Amino acid sequence: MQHTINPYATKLIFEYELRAIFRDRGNLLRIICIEPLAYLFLLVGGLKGLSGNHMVWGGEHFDYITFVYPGVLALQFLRTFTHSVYRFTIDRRWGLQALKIASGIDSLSYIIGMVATPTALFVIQTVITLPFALLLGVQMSFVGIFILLFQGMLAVFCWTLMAAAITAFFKNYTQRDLFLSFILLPLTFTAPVFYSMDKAAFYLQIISKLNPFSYQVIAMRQAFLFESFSFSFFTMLVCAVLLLCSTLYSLGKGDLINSEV
Amino acid sequence: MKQTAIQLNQVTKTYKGGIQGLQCANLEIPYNQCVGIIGANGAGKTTLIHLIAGVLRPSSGSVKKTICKPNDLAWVSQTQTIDWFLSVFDNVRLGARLGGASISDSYEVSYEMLEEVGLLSKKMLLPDQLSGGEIRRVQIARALAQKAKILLLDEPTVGLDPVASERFIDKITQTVSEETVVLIASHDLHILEKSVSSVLYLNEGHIEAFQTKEEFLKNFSSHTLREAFFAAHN
Repeated sequence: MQHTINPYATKLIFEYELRAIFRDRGNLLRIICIEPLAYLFLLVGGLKGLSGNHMVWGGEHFDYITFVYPGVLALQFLRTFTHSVYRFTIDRRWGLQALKIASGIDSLSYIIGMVATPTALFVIQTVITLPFALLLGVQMSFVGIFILLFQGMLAVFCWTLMAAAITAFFKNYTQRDLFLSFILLPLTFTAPVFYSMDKAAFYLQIISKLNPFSYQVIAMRQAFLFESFSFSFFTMLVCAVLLLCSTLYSLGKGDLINSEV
Repeated sequence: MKQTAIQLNQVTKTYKGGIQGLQCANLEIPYNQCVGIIGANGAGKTTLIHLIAGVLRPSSGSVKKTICKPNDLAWVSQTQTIDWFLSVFDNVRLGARLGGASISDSYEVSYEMLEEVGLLSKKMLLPDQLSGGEIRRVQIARALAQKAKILLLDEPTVGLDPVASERFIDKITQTVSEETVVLIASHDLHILEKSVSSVLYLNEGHIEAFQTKEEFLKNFSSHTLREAFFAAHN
């Protein structure tokens, strides 16, 4: 099946997703501002003392705050992932996805429209934290920021498609909340967000290798500190294409609703 | 000759567990019709609506719709298909936007439709502040705001009070034209009696009859759809 993006349909989905998020302004403020800044100022500020403000990564020496900043931004993927899981669940549970597709929104435009909001949130989060990061002494370059943003957007794309895929398995909100409770903390703590994995316990290093989020943190750090694309980036690219194909296939071929006769 | 709006060729829908939703259905529905879909519980009315809407895929056979644009189909689901995070107004406006209206036009159309369904004073409320019947009215207003050529309505009058039901019939009667077709699946035979021009009778997943209302009544020597339905069912 051939897929093309319908700009009107994409814009429409994006418009309504934005409306939904602006409806809950407290949550919006928490996502784009309070959480990333709390991580940066409170958690990183505290951990900085423990690390002696010095880290070695990829054979180079960095300030702790410079080392950890891309990890803090990567953490926001999980926040946007949670948001996407909520939105996709609502769209499926209440038949809105089916309604939109029945009313002429094609699958690809629907997906791109749904991805656009978390991507915009990520960009806003990054832009908001940048001046504060500079204030804290994070060393950065324009190229590094640009590559980091690009990779971050790709990661958000992957997580949003992942959200689309997994929500198909939730029968109710309890299952969704249970899944999120079980998955988010282990993902965070077994990825090298606040420290380098080579100094962690052996079992943690093994688990970290199985954690997709680890590779995204590494990709973000590589981009930010070395202004280059890592192997993880290309893995992410392949994952994004595979996830997109499978999501489009399920929307195009499968039933969009559980129907009674 | 009227142009065909919807065509089903040998359509079968089988659910998990082998439950038959619809069996080998062949159907041609022309424009300029208001079709009442009737049948007992589990006869396949909702399955038929979902197959035409494209939200269920046929297990075999094909469903074709003669529409110029993909957004020329609007659907009111039997369930509460509504965005609980958006206001009543935004939910209705979604229909207008799905129909291709510009942002400014969508505001105008939404006000008009909310007026039609008597919910203008509640436009800024969230759906969870409405009653079941009011939510149904929001769904109808959203579908009408889309101004689609094919309108699929699944149990549209459930929860509506008699005044709202009458308003609904008037609106549907006005909607049917040379370029539109309306399909209403309902157990409310009184409403169908007043609004439909044709009757599609389903029984255990089979299309038993698709004819004008007059022919259907004549076939079962009945004066009302209610009588004809009982005669067909027995």
